[in-house]
Amino acid sequence: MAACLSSAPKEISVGMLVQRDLRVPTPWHELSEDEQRRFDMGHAVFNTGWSPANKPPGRRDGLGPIFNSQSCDSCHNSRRRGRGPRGNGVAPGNLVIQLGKRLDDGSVVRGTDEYGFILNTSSVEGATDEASVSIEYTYKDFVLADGTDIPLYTPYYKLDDFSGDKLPPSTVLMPRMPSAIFGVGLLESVPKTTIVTIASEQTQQGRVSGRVSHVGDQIGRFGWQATEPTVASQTAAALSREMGLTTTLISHADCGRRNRVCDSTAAAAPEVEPELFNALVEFQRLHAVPIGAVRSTTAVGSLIFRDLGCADCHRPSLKISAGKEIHPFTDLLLHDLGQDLDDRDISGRTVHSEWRTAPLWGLNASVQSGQPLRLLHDGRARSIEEAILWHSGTAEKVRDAYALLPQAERKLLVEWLSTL
Amino acid sequence: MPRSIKYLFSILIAALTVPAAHPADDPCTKFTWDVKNELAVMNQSANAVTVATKAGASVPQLEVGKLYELQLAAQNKVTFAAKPAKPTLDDGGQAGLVKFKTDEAGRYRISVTSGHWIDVVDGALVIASRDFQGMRGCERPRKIVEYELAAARDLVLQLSGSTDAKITLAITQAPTP
Repeated sequence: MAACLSSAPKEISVGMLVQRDLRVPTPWHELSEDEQRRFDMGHAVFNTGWSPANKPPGRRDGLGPIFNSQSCDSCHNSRRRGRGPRGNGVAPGNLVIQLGKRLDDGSVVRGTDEYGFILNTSSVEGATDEASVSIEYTYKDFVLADGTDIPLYTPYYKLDDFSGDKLPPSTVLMPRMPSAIFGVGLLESVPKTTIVTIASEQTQQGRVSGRVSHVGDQIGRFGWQATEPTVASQTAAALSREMGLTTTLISHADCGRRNRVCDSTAAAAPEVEPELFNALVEFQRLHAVPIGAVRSTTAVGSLIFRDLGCADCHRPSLKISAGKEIHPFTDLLLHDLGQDLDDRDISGRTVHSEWRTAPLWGLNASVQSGQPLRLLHDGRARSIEEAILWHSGTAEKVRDAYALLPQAERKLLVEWLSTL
Repeated sequence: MPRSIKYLFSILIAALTVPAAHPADDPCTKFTWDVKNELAVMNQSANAVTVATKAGASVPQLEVGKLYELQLAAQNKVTFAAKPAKPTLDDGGQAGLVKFKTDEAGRYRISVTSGHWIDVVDGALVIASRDFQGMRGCERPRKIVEYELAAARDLVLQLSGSTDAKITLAITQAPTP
């Protein structure tokens, strides 16, 4: 039994510090005094609400002029995944709508001329929000083999109050939840060869088929579709697009080519000073993963997880160097999860979408937050079970196998996942 | 019925049916919590208070159910009663301390018109909040944070993180769930 439970969370943190008290962020290895000072500064930058340019002038001004949130923490709530939408109505600020253009061949190019990469739903005084977003859900029941009905909610997005031209029907709406930041530095340290090898193994084994996300000559690892290769690039993109803050990596806010609102406020120097940006990136890179307590009664859930085939993509362990493994429950590859999860354009047509296998480590932090769970890229799943049942495409057989499980085994699996 | 009375009657009906500024359009009515009490207190006239910059006897005492306008101090001049649970850059930040006491144990809410981080400190211990809400477009209050508090404790309320120097704040007892 001990060997079978090698993926249980108690054992995954060997050689690394883990997060015990979420209120005090912990680095995953011991830090020198100077490193700890930078870690603490990064934490402060993460929490700091930014103010509009010159209000007051200093190290924390430059917000906007259009933005989605004023601080990292207001979306990545206490470094956890975002709180997400609670139901019908105005979309919360922490659910962003990324934009793309659907081309004639069905592929998608990210960004639009008028509004850039993300629809900014807030603005500083004197500027105008790009649009407002509201959500309406419909639901259908997924019927499990034992007759249990599980409602699955599908979100539909309505955009109003455009500051410029209305978006054309071919605009692709890509709603995205903020991910947790736990362990991102460890994911960054997974060698390229490891990820490529896993993709080859999956092709040979034939059960699932993952694709490496190539971003230039690097591998995409971050974001729901692995669009960013590093913690720094992911952070700079979020600061630029969601907060209107420039950095040494991205020197412009997300205004779109035809939207001149940012021109008058363009800053010559990065609005986030290099010292603060570097501290913010280091803080995230070093942030440990919170590990939940596994009870012996639920540890068997790890066996069910493996037997169903979940571990083919949500890989319990990845090598980061000789003799050192991490246990993020991802393969960092892109997978087709079926049409029901595909993004849609404004006219309602789906676009083929591939999703990076979401790392499951740190899930306990969301479960224990006391807030309603909102899972998957758009927060549509209101429980771990709903998230499992939304899997289709390459994971359809695994999903169907789950649906055949007796209730007691489903419960054990979900309880174990809740501790990751 | 005389024509003049009919005329007056029709004006009255029209006046009753014209949808003037409907309360449902007010974003402050969109909280999913019952916030009637918080909104009512926010409409009181505010008592002006200057916050303290360190713990001790000079920390001003606030009362539950009253509205206050707080004049804050530069954050780098403030010595907090406990390290804020979400530390922020001092640069441009405005902060300060006030204190309050609850007569009975239960759920209490702190409503503010700014984005300040709020810590409720009991001795040296920061009490974790139960939950918070904010509603896009509603600035009075901009956010409401809820706590489970014991009775008759001397509690320090410390504000940090935001650049607003003057804010409005109220402490209220939450409705029984």
